[in-house]
Amino acid sequence: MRWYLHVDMDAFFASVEQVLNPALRGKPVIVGGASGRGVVTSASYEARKYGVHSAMPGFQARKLCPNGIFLPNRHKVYSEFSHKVFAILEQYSPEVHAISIDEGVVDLTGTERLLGPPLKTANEILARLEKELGLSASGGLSTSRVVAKIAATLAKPHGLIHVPAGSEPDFLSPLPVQRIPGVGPKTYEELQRRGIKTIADLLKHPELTRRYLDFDEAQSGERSHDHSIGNETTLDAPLKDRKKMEEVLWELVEEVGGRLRKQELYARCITVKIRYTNFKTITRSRTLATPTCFDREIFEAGRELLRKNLTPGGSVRLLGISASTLLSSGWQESMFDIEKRLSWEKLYRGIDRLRRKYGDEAIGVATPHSRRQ
Amino acid sequence: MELKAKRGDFLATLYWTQGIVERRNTMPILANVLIESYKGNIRLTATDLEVGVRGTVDGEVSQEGAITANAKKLYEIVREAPEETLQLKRLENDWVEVKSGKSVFKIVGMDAREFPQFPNFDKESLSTIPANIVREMVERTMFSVSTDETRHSLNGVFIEELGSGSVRMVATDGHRLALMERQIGSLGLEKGVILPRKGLAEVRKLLEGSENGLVSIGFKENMGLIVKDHVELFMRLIEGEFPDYTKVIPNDNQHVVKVEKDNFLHALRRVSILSSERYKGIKMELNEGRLSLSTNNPDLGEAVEDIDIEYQGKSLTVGFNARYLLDVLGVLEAGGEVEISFKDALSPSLLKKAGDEGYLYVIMPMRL
Repeated sequence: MRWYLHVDMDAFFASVEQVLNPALRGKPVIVGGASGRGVVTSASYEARKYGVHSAMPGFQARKLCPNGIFLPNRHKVYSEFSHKVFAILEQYSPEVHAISIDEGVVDLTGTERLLGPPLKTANEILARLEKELGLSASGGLSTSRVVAKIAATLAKPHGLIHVPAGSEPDFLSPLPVQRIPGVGPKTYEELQRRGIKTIADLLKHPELTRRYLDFDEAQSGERSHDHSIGNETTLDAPLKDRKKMEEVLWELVEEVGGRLRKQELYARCITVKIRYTNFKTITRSRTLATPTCFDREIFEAGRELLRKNLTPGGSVRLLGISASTLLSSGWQESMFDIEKRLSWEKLYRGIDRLRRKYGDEAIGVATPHSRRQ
Repeated sequence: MELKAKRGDFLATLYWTQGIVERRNTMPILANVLIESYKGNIRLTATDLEVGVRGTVDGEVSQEGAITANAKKLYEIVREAPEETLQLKRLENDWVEVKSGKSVFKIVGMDAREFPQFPNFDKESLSTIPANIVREMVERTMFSVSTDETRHSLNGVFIEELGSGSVRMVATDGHRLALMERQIGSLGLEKGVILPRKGLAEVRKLLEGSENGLVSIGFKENMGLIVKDHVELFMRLIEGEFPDYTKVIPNDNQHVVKVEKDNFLHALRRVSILSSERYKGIKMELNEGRLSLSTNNPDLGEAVEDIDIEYQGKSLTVGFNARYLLDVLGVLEAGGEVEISFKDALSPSLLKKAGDEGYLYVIMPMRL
């Protein structure tokens, strides 16, 4: 039997700010949207009482919570804390799967003899995150990844839900289908048309269950990875200068590249997302001849997309880059590039190792970072 | 312009224009064939500016001159003509009249002066080579040409002279590379040039089934020419640098297996039935005395086939795109053995036909 602990950090960015500045504790802290133009990327639970939530436009958050403490995004800082979080998770299992900067799955299968019952281990992990980093997290513990994820969401904030083996259907049945990750408004509508509202309804249709609620996904192992790995940021101030955007892009790419390599995946498709200050949003993709997990290649593809698709004079408020068509096998390298790429593989593995050990600032790339000085 | 020719002769020469004329209609004149009649000589020419063909037809010229007409339509008209004799005549406004027996066509033409000019090759400067060698060299390399249009310099076959009469042709798409070398004498090439795929496809057609006979080959400025009997093929050479292919030919692959070619080909065909349509991935596992081919496709199932070999080295597993192996085995003559040498699961492997030092094939593994 398999055991998965899904860990989801509570109000991650806002909590990090509160850890770094104890004066903010117990106060409504809102990260992002400071200028009134951006969106909220994280809101402390104190702020959520006012109805503020992430992805809400800044001006609206300000209206709901005029006394809120608005802070700019400090992605580097959060990313470092994220590494610390994962460093703790990795002490409990060799199989830790990062889903995003503040969410991950720890595969606790087979750790009983070493660590004791999974529930005890799960409690210990969450307690250590709180004690050592001062961060609150929620967890879901189950025999399947998808159930663990649903449980973690229900446990929020600061909780842990354990779904004992065999009780998964009982646990899921009363929940509305929207609780299933991947069931968005469109799927929901479609399911509702067929009279399916709760997961209990869904479980009566084995075919649909297989499609939307894949319990066995965990067993199929390697083949079940994310569809894409992406990173985006709302800019503190809108940008018009492409060179400046490229610097932002580089930072986003480093995160995406690191996550690809951590999961030993290569991306065939790179997508850039540009949102202008008038909220017009475009996404543009490029398919690569050879899949990559190397920052410089991801960046080159992203830069090229930016160069080709940016409206001249357009003022940009959000930039994003994502890697998709993720593969771990099944392609061929070019014989003309194989030596170069094998040496990059070594190089980036070394960089990743240093960063895990000493933090993101431990090692940087000379360009285009150095241009900023 | 006015001429008379046998329907069959005219059709045979006109046939060569069909693969060449421009389909995309960027310049209307390129959909046309140029018909010239001078001093008892009838010539048909077609081009898409990259590749051109010129052929002669025996016949009677009653009035000299030139005109162009739509090559596809003219071909259909001539093919369906009722009598053995054909009369062509230029009318006013550049129309062309085609008469055969009681059938009369008048088709819209275009002024011959608008037709692109071809360079004139000095017949003396051409080299004469047995047609079957040229055919073999083209067939055994062309299939490796890249179809990725963004990689211009890989869209053709590189040809160069090695001195002492040796000529080498190389094609690659970055995933595999085919190289063939033969003693055919000098071609007058100072440095290597790249022949476009479309041109070579026409060459292959022209030389199809040629076991005997000779062809003449020559190069001038940015054009290449090949002549067989009464047909001349021109092609514009691809500009750009062909990559340094010598770097990627492995010379220290230690794990060598020899396997009967036809056995190997058939086993590969069988095993690859279950590989995925797109990637055609198969696994080759090397063990003492045994080569195992296998596929594992979660959607379809799995297949394994063992081949006995003489091998004493260490065990090794390498993935390949089966199509790339089938391609090369398909162009080698039947029978005999192939020798494959491996370094590891990521580096290029090398395939040769045992006893043929003039041919080699480099193939990149597939990540498994």
